[in-house]
Amino acid sequence: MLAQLLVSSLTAGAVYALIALGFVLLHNGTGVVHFGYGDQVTFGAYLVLIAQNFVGVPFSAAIMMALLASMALGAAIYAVFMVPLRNASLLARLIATLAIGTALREWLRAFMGPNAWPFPFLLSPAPVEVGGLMLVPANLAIIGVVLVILAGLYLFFEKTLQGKAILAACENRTGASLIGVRVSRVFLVIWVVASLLATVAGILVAPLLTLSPDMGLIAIKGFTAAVLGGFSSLPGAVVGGLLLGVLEALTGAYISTALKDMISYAILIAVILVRPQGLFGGLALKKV
Amino acid sequence: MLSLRNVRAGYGGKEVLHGLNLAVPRGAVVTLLGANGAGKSTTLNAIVGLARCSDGSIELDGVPLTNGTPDQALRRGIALVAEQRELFGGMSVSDNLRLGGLLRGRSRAVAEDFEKLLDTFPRLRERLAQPARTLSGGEQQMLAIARALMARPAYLLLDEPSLGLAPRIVDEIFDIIRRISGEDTTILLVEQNAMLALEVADYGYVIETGEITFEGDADALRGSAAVQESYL
Ligand SMILES: Nc1ncnc2c1ncn2[C@@H]1O[C@H](COP(=O)(O)OP(=O)(O)O)[C@@H](O)[C@H]1O
Ligand SMILES: [Mg+2]
Repeated sequence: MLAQLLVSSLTAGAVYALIALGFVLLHNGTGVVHFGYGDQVTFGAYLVLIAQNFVGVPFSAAIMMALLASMALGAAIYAVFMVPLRNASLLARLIATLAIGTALREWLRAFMGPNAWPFPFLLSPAPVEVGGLMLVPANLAIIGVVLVILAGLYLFFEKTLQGKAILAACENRTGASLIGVRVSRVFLVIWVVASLLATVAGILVAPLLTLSPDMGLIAIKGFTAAVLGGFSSLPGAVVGGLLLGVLEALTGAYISTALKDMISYAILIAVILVRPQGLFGGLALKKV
Repeated sequence: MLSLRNVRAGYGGKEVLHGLNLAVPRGAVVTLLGANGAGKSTTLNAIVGLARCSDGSIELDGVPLTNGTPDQALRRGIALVAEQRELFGGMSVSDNLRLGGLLRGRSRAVAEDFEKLLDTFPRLRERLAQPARTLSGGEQQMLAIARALMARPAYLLLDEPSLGLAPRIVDEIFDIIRRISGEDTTILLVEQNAMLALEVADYGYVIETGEITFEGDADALRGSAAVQESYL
């Protein structure tokens, strides 16, 4: 029972981890908490539907188109909003992210309707029994996709100098530009990557939830995961996501399914009150 | 030749340099001396684009450099070791050093320079895996210089490398500066400690509230009333 629960909770946790990574990347790079990030998750999934139903391409091609379009969206958000606002106050930039999210969400409501759309699974949602555990291929696909992305990001950030240069720019912009990093290009890359992560998360989570303009509320869980991980650590975001998935599943199973969705808010508040630096490590010193 | 002509520069609306003239010929060690707040750091910052230039020109070999960015300056061969050092404190000493060679990509020459710099700065070799923020002040200064040298700059701008360090460490760092200047790197050295700077420099400028008030070769500066009064 417990083993089954942990396996199932990994699916949700993996998606939370992805969203948390997006939040942390954007925050580390640009200092902004992207309040419209959840709407980008929703928008990404809708992009697949739009490509399928209005462009008329098959599901796999629609996914490719959605991924490309979301990269363009990320670049556009950076160029149109974040560059002009680069010297604006933090509050102005936060409100801009909120506005971007609202615009995306309400555009979807206006043009795609307020109702839920069915969204295809990547693999069969019918459970298969393996050694006493019920495994759902569709869920395994989610975990698989997230693992591949995490491995790719890990290799890029830890093993390549280009990846380290991005982390360096997140830590110290002046220092990074002094070693030759074009900091504006780093921000562009971060917006593109985070937008891509949002769309992947949207595509993965849409069949589990239902795809409606308000699906982006799921991002509060990614946000909680990021807070659990300290909001500045990429590995912390991943661990936070997985942990939140497990805690949710345990709450749902042993306390009450009604509380399942509340638990992330409770955790969010508790962490902010008791341990604002996150569960892992001490307060990170940002500069030398 | 790096040259600044009638440079007015500062931060935001605040002008700090009021028409400054300065030249650094290739191969030379030039020092810029002045009291705290005179505009020494601003001069270096203006060269690499960290301070805004509102008038005048900054040129490298006759090609303008004015109001670029530090990464553009580095691509032209000018590296700044900033007063604040600007290390990546959360990253290892080794990563900081390797990042210094970012623009050169991966090559045997970069790997060789990495080893060579660790021979020059043996204290860094002992701390390769440590986060840069755990280093002592002197070690951080050494790392900042080594990181800049990883880019093999033609011009090295040093902003008060002796600041806040024990005399023994300062001697060590100035020995290294002397060695670097012998290896074909042109140096512009900013210092408050005139005696020390004039030991390594061929030529010097004195800056007071954003203007050059005296210049000459090292001997002339040592003998000058302005330097005598203020610093010696
Ligand atoms: N980032 C900054 N923004 C605004 N003013 C600055 C900044 N940095 C330095 N200043 C001002 O510029 C003047 C010269 O500073 P600086 O060039 O750092 O002098 P020095 O390096 O000779 O001690 C000082 O009055 C200082 O307050
Ligand atoms: Mg200074």
